[in-house]
Amino acid sequence: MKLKTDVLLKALNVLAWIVFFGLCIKVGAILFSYFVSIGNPQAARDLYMGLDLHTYRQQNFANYTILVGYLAVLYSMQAYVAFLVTGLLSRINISKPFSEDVAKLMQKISVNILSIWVVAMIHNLHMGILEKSYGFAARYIPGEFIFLAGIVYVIAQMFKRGVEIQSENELTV
Amino acid sequence: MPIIVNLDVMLARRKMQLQELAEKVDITLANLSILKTGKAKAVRFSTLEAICKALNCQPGDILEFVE
Repeated sequence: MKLKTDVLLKALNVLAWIVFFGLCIKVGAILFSYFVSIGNPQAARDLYMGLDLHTYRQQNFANYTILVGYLAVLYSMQAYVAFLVTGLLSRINISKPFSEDVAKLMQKISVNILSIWVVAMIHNLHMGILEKSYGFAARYIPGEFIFLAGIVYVIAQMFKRGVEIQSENELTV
Repeated sequence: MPIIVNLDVMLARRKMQLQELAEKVDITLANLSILKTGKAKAVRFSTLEAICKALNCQPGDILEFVE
């Protein structure tokens, strides 16, 4: 059972690293395409994996820049969360799972996911304004991050309590 | 901490070493040291019983409450 969990944790760690690098590549590709699109507007038709912001580029370069900025910030923050998850998975010790480090990392992850939600909501607000002003078909980012942040926060609080209980158990003679 | 553990006093009275007590009550030396140095957060009744039996004393001889 312990071996199975260890293998699973290692596999999740590898997956988290893959997600992290994937998101870093995504941010880099979007930024690279953006800078290319400054001189070549057609590049805005396919910034990364079919992401088409050409209409916004044609309408107003400032709005286009802000939208690309939102996406770059959003994916960067997601990459950071993936990085924190790799740290979390490497620190988890199955024989003593409740540690101060793990509890703090979980709290950090929940705060960062909440920040992602805030940026996503600001993006959606801006998209809504552009839709009303120029009649663009808005591309909204789903707001489910808030639920994920809430769940991770609750789990982080449970882990903190687990640390206290584990510490008390260790100092019980 | 308000509860003081007077284990070293009882050990001196009974002329017993900590290692010997650890063997008699079947607790590791590390855990007994935690108790002796007052770092323990809790003591099981079974442990207290074993220590009192080994040292031939009452729980009050080992545990003391100070304000």
